[in-house]
Amino acid sequence: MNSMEFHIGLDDIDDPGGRCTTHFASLVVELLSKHSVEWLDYPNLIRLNPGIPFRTRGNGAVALRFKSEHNTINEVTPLIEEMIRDYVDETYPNTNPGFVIVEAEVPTEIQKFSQQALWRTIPILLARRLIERHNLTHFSLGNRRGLVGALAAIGNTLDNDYTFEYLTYREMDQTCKKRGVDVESVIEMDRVLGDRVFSNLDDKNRILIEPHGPDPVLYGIRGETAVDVIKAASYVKSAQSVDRWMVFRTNQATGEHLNHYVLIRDLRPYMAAIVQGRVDSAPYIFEGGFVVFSIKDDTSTIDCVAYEPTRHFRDIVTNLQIGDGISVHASVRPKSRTHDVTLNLEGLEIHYLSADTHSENPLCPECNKRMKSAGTGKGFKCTKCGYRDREGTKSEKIIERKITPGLYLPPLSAQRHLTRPLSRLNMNNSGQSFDLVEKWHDP
Amino acid sequence: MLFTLSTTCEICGVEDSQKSQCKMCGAQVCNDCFVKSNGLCLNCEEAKCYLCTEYLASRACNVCGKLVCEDHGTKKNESTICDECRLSDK
Repeated sequence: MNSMEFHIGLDDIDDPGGRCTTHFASLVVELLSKHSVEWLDYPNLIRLNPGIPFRTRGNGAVALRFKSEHNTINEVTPLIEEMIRDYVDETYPNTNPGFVIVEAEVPTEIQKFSQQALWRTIPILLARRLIERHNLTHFSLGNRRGLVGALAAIGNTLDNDYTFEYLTYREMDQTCKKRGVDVESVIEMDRVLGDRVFSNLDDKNRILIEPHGPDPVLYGIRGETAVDVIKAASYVKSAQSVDRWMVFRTNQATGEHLNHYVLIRDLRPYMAAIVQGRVDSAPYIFEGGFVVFSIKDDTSTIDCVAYEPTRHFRDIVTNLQIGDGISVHASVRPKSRTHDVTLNLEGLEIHYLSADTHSENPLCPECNKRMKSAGTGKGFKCTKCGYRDREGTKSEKIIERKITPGLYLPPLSAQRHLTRPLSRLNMNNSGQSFDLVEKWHDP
Repeated sequence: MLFTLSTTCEICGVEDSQKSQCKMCGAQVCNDCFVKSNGLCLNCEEAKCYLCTEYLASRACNVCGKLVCEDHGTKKNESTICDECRLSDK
């Protein structure tokens, strides 16, 4: 019997009330593992454009890559379809699961589609055209939006930078209860593993590995290798018990969505883009705590917004001034009745700062007090001793700026899954080979 | 890399000399990616607010799942409730 290479893509199997595409993927891995497949990769958790409105939470899709015989695929395909029907919450009308299978190598066209899905919006019809053209086995429910993510997950084979995430899940009937992840155990894990793991704790030692919603994820540990995240998990304790776990290879924390510099003129709604320009209007703090300023490039001007949860980052933004040369990392927020198209800030690079100057009247040579203007063209006079200086001129004083050039990001708690955190700025696993460890999921 | 608009359709990438411009987002798209009846590209057709159909959606309503714009949805923490569901709940 000949073994073939298969890629299964899964997306949109979640809903706001619970359930999760990665959790469902772990059920599929359990099923496939009982069918003697040869795994070619860890399950790939592919985060797609975080700015699109269709997402439930973090816009993640999953690809499973393995070798198997055709008979196996024929056997499991209807089972997976049945599992999807059983798993989804049919009372929530915006769950639109998609499941796609690609045989053999991933076609270039699907790889390109996947690159687009990282930073653009993709209509369902485009995914359906691609599926039809390549005659792919697929299954979908609802409006079929899940086909977009399923195809995009298959197309991203993580050939560039990648990281790992160890995701643990609780039992589905326990999702309304508190997870109870132990803070001290996370602090200890973070201390022992050092820079091999990241984004576990914020600057006040609040844990970031525990979600807050009613989904089955108990906690997730992000790191540089599968061995690192598996070791890290051995330190973490929680009140709720781990029902299952799985290691994913992922594009999280790689900044893969922000690879395009876009002119303001060419921006489109929901795009993830880097826009380079000069600050054109001073930042203004609105009620509610968000800060707005505008930038200008050679083609146009656009407003940029930093929101209240970005805290310290918002303080940096507040200190920008007209003329500063910057690049903003942003997603494009469509216009509404109250505002035009704007950029929601995910990061800020300050390239250069404009000079902040303050003009001062001259000092009185007699009593050293700052003089006042004596009227237009009449020079200056001292109000203390009465000294007059008809030739005196104002002097320019340079004021030290409160910010310096560099890259600034919101706090970890406000970052996108795809954002490359500062702790990973000099890390890159691109080209690094990885071997599947003996045990990377249970069950 | 610097992204510049090319002569191809902004959605599917196909070369088409008869492109149309979406009246909502300004994208230049081919005939297959354009909805003639309302002058929208496929992206905006799928992402428009179901209540006003004038603006693009910001999120899906957590109750009914439909897409709503900022003016027709109320945000509370991470969730959005559309005006219709909010009023029917009252």
